[in-house]
Amino acid sequence: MRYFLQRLLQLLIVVFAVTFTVSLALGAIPNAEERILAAKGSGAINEVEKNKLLDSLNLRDPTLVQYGHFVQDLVTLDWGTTFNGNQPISTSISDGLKISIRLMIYGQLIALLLAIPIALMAAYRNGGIFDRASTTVSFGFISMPNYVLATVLGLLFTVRWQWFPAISEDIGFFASPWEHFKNFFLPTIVLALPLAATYMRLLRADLINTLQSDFITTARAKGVGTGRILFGHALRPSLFSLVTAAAVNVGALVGGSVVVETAFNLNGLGRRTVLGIFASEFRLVQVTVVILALVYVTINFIVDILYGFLDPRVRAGRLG
Amino acid sequence: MTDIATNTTTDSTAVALPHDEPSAPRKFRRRGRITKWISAAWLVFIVFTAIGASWLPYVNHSCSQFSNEKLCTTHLDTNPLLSERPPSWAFFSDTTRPVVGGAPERFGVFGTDTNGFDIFSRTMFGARNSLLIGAMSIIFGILIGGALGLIAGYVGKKVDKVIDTIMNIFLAFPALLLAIFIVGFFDSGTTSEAKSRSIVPIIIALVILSIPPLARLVRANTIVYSQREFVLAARSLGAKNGRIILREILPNVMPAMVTFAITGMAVLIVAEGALAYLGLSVSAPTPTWGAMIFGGQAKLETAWWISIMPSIVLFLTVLAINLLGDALSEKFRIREAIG
Amino acid sequence: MSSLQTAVRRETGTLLEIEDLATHFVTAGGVVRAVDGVSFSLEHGQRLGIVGESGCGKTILSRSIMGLLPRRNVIRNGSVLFEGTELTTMSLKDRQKIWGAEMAMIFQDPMTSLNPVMKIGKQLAEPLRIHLGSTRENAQEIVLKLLQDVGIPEPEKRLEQYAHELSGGMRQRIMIAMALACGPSVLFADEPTTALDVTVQAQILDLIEEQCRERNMALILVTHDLGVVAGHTDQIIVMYAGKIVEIAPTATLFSKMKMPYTEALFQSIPKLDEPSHTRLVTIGGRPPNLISPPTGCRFSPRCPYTTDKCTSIEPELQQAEPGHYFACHHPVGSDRWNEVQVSLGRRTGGR
Repeated sequence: MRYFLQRLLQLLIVVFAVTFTVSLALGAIPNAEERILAAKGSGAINEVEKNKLLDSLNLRDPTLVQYGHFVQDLVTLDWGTTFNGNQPISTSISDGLKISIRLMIYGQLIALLLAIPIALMAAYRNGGIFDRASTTVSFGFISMPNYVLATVLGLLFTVRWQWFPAISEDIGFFASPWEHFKNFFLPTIVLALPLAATYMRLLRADLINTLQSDFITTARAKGVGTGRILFGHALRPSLFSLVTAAAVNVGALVGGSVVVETAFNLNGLGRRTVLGIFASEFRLVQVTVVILALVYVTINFIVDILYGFLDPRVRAGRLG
Repeated sequence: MTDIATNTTTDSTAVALPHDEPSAPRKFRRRGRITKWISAAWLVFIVFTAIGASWLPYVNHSCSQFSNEKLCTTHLDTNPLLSERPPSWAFFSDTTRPVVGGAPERFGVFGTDTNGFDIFSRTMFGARNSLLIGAMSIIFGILIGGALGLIAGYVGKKVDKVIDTIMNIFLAFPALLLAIFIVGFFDSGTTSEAKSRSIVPIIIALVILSIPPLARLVRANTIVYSQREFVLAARSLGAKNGRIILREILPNVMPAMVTFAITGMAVLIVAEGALAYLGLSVSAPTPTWGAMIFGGQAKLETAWWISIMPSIVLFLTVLAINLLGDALSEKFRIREAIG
Repeated sequence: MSSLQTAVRRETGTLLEIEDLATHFVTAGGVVRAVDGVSFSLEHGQRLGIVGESGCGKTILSRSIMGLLPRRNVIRNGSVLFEGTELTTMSLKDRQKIWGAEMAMIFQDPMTSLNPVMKIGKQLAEPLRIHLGSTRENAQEIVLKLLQDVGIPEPEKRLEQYAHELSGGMRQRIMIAMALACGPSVLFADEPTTALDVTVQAQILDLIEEQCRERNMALILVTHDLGVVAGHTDQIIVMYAGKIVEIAPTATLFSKMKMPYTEALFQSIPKLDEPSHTRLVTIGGRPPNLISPPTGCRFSPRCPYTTDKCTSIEPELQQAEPGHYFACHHPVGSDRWNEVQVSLGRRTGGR
């Protein structure tokens, strides 16, 4: 319980610091005002509108007041519209989130579906041909930057063979499952392969350790079959690193798949943020970054608590 | 025999006798030695080209043979006659551009880009910038992150808490977005075009990216070592804190730090590429691998080699660094287990 | 008696016949001859002790008999006949049918031998469900009986607990219950008491003995402690460096031991009839390197009676009396032995 509260306190401090930094950053940007006005569009803006816009950002207030307003706006969901006036920031963010979360879920699923069976097979025949081959391949994928992978796969599948569209569109699953699949296939693969490689290595290492432990020998001596040893006995105690990594990635991938989103022209949250920086849409960027950081920090917090469910020893240790 | 202090949960009364024999034979590692040597050789080659690019014959010196209009003396001169020629071994690639002025249909090991630059030579010049960015960033990262980690781990208490919280804040942002943020922050222009970006903001962004993980690693190691007997001994002999940190703790933390830094450098080289891919790296005339890959994206359909060739070099370099880092970490782990 | 599923065996005759069994590990340093040509047989219901120092190959021997060792980098030779069936050539699937059902094993460290993330009840029921195809309810019933048999209080409560919630002795009782579940005809106990409190050790040994008697189950008790096997076995094998050096019925071994190594082991047990603070006799040196064992008798470098013959000619197992074999050129009671005893100033004559 004490541990829980400590972690919670830490979480709150980080949340405060993140919002404060983000709020402050706006004031620190060189030529912020001009850039904001430029973002507003080339059309002439009269003095009144200009002041209204700058007032709404509280740029000219003292730091603390600025921060107060920023938090107030965040909490009351009063995020305003983009500077170019095209759409409310909340719409932009929720549209981006929809794509990013979808991509993240697909990527994670494929990565886990690939990693777990491969790791099990590799660990079971540790040092065998399959193990060596899969370890080598995974090393290759870990060393391959995702933009390189995107380039290579893009070249092969969209330019050479034209199996998939070069530019992905956000077509809902229910609108057209086939089109949806075609559009999300390549981005998902580019996201999933390096992830799968990382997961596979983590799980394999832990599994090899677990398979050497005494209770596995006990299970073998009981006559438990190979499959049951792997899935029933060895897998669960070996999942710690994998669960940690996968969970942390839930947060990291929502905003962190910028490269994949850019490569396949998906307007996810990450890409919107980058475009926002280019277009000096500072409000949009501020809100997005705060949301991403919150998601990330919250998930890390949950991971710590999730440990207990995996290992009853930890649960006992924390409660007792 | 093999199980040295692996039981962490046994009763104090329980006498854990070593097993009779190793329950499974140790895996012996003879393999991988060749890969290690190849990796090392590749890195030596890349580093040498990076340093000596200007003195090595990597320029388009042969373009004068078929161009009367212009003598190509440096790799920066454009040569429209040689625009987008596939590599000489790529028989499967048709050139879409007509062959003009007696220029060859295929050119060089890596082909040429839109400006008619030899991609091989640009890739080697790119090595200089990519490696420089990676190395500079990781060096500053070690200096700052290492110092923070040493202080946090050695002093502990409030200082530790403060530093840890600051690191947590940095870690709360998605890494790449943070880098984009920082690079974007230094852009003072009002439009996204016509920016001349130097190497500095990129290095700063990457340094900031590398500090938190390094600080955490060093902190964890420092805590372990600062409780060891030799530190206590040094303190009881009246050694000053600074001396203890530099003479006693730092040498012990070093192996882990260096191993981590080597793989970290690979990550940073990749990160620079990602920034470039998003259009945020060093501006045009200075090639980095990332910028070259990004530059070829639009031409993927007609001239795949512009992107793919530097991609391959980048991939191989990252792979080589990772392989060496892996070997190094294994070596140190063994030494820790023995000592 | 828990005999819901298992009829009590009353067969007699040979259960296990081990012939020239060898297990060698291929390692980076060379071939480790962990078990090097071991032959013996085990009757139904017989209790056999295998004794030796750490590193003499006794654990590997027990695992080789069951066939539990990994295949990779292991050279195996010889034959293991279990009720007339050859085990060494049997497929993994078939061996899995025997493990837990016909042969069961309990281990040294009950702390690590139970799955930390699986409820005790499920682990106990596992052999029943695999081998006998019991339903969940049926298995639970048997498991509760078993837990009572091995003397665990509040068995219902234990089913829902995890290993870390129980004491070491309790866990070893669980291990025993699990091994007994399918009514095996032989139980391998690999240092079952080494990791336990002294007070619990005797209880566990008594429990094992009692269960063996009740179920007419054979026992192979592997230990480094002659004191442990003394009261709980019918026959004892003394192993040294992967080989059997002496084999005899328990009473005979203690009264008429022949092998100097057995003698040394015996002397290193604290005895009640000696005055307190008597210095314990230890065996000098270390167990030999099994990659390149000493030539001749493998115990010769540490043996006080060593002669040139010992270091050149390896002694074969020879019969002292029916059922009692030893491998030594200068056994206890021989001239050489007496000579050395005199020179050491000890009392002469046999024991």
